[in-house]
Amino acid sequence: MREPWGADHLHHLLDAALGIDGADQVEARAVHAWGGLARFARSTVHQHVAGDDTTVSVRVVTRGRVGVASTNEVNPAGVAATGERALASARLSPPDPTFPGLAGPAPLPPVGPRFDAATAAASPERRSRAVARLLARLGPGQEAAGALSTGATEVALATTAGARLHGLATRAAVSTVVTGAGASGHAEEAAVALDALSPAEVGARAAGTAEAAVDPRTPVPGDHEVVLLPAAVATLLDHLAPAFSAKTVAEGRSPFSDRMGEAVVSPLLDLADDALSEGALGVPFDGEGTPKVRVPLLDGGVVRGLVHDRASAAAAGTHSTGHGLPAPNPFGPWPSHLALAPGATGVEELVGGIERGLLVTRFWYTREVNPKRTLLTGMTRDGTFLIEGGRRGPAVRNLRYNQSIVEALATCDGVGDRAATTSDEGGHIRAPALRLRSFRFTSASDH
Amino acid sequence: MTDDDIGAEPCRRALEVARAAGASYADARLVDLESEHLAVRDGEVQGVGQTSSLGLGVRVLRDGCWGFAATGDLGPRAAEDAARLAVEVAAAGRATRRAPVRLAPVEPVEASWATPVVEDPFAVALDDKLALLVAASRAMLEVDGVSPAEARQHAWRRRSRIVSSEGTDVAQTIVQCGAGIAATAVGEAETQVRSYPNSFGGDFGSEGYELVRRLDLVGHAPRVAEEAVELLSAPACPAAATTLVLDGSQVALQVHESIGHPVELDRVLGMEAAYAGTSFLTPGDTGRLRYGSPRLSVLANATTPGALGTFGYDDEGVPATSTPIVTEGVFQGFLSSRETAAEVGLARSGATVRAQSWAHLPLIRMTNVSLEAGTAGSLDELLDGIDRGLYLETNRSWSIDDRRVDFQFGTEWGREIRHGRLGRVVRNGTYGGRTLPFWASLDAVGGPALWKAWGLPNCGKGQPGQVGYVAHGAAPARFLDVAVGSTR
Repeated sequence: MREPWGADHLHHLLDAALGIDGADQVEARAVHAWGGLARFARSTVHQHVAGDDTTVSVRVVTRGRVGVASTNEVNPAGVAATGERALASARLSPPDPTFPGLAGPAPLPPVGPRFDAATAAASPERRSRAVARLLARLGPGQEAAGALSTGATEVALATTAGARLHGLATRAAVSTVVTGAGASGHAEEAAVALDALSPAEVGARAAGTAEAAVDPRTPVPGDHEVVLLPAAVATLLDHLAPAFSAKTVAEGRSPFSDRMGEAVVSPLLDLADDALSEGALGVPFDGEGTPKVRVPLLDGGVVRGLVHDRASAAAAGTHSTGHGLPAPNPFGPWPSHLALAPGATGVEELVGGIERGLLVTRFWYTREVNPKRTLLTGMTRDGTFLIEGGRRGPAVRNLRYNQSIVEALATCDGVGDRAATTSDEGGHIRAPALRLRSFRFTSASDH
Repeated sequence: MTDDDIGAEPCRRALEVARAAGASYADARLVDLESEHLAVRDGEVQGVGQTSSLGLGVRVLRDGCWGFAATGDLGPRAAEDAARLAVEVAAAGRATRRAPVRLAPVEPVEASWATPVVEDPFAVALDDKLALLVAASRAMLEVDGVSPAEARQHAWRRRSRIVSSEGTDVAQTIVQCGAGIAATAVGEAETQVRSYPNSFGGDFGSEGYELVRRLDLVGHAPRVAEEAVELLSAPACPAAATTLVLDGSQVALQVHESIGHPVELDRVLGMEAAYAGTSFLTPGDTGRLRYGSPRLSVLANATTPGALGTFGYDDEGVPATSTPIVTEGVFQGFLSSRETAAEVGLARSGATVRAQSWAHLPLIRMTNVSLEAGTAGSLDELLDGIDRGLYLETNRSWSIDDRRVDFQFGTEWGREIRHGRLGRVVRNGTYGGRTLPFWASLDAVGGPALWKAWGLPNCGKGQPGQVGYVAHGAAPARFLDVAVGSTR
């Protein structure tokens, strides 16, 4: 099925759950997803998949007790049976005194185009041809691995409290790692429409980085001045995301717990969670049926806002910002559209401000070492270069870093003038390049 | 086949259509997945989730290219539509094809297999299961300074039918479950978490609810909570090069990251280069490369009773088997599929190919990749003779480079070792190194009494991403001259 079912069809399905006997409140959510992904390695498409599925999940509340069940048997009988299963598990569960109730009706915010019919209907042949355009830009002796995907999502949600939402979104993405002569380079793009991607340009960019990264030197670990390109910045922001969850803050687990209104990073940094901006991906309501709101998180380096779901908002006596995950959700609210505002400095100028340092294309296998300090460890990958005399110098082997994100962002004195999107199925991040005056690398790899 | 087996008709219909549309090979998997996830936090039920998902995945070869299509819509024409789409996908591969895919031979088999289960986790009353988690959570909360106090339990049942154009027809039911608790203590500048029996959800196996009962979560809850609070005021792990003793669960993760992943043959051949990464190993290393000290022997055994990576047949219908990976320190073999085995000249697949669900393409996944037991009869025996060293337990963070060489692990719980005994507690214990030198420093491994299979239900791989259920048998082990505490 390569086209939407439509709001009427999906809400008719969901109504089968909303009408079950014995429930005080019911929420039903349908996700119809289809698309394909052409995965390539060694410069050939080796794993190309396509498919579709529709899942309906039902949350039932009875006398303060909550149960959730889901199914992909998408007919009224299957959905009703799933509602009965959720009801049965709710009856066996202890009451949840913190349950905030279900979402009521609310208007959706205006957003730009989120659905492209041609992307939703993209054929395997079209994906393969796009990969071929990327591969055509490789240099002699280079090979590419990566993925090009086209996907569509249709979400419908209804509650007995009156919410009745429907949204359509498409996502096209291409990413690649180009290797050659022991070096590698990376590039990626994501957009609402496949036509908005430039696989050839992505291939050329990664190939160019890989070509420049040959014959790497062995770097010296230690504290370095760095320019982080957008993909590397996106990794840091991704790991900073839970720090802005109202639940994490309330439990004292965030570095920003009790620091609302304080300057925590460089005054050059403005960060928001913005699912409504032009170019953002996904439907404009969350997994609980709350319309999404733009939330300023850092304003001039000062903590200004937190994201809420219905439970954290009820606990804090405020409104949900539309950052709830689908039930059951033990994690709390989550900012999935982080956007760091670009500055006015080109990457060359950022590099020009460093006498001796490192230019990092991206990070890899980043993990929290100490969440409260936002201390991370990970490796550089796919293009790490010396900066010498204000210019990009020769490549260096990859380095392991151990660095607190908050402490690193406090040393930011330059923000790139162009933001790029890093995207996966879970959300996306828009970030420019950053210049940081201190970043700690603890060891060097052999490649 | 048995009366409980899932039906083969949609698979057979898909194969007919795929062959008629030009596929030279096809297999179809009908999979019915059930899962249950229970979460309790600070003594209150946080979530009761039950899912079910039924669908069909069709994989074909046409003109030497793979195509895969999957659908959760099992209407009257679903099998036909999925098969035609799979062939269309394969045909699109001509645009970039280099060499045609070849498959190592496999003897077609008609068989049925099921996980031996004493107590079906889906049949245990929900209120009984929740009561156990609530009791464990409340027992942790009784310790001052602990919140959140979390307890979780998960169960999965996967009924599948795999039919291939070569005559294989396998019905399989795999049941898996597990549980765990975690206590968090929040201080001014630190958050400390202590888990049991393992971090990131607990321990898991291909067993029934008997596994959960055996864990005695309530009995361990007070100690876990007290240790979380104790960590807040413990000194930080010192930086040093020292003798390191790891508990079995951390050894299991070390095996996972620095042995299990690098020996996946698809990574070695570059098929995962863009996402999961590659490997420092090459096909020519078999039988030659010294992977570690003579105390290092590793087996990939998909038949280990009760282990999370145990099954009867993989998702290519190849019977589960046991493959030597490292024998007395020398590298012996890879985890392979029919495709990768043929590419490097192996006689047969190592039967490791599995998919998370009907919607996912089967990939090489670890099975039960286990460090064989050594001879140390107790933890005291491992500590004996260490004048100064460090004992680390339960993983907290893990990171390794894309070729599986440079790694750094963080742990929840550390103890100094002084004169052969455990000394004061240290917090934020980390260690790092490089794969081959690290395994070369393996000095002693706990014996059979200390050995157990640790289940990891969160191994990520592939695009679109999929989760694998794997296990690693391990025992506490001793390593010499390891860099610890190297973070800032």
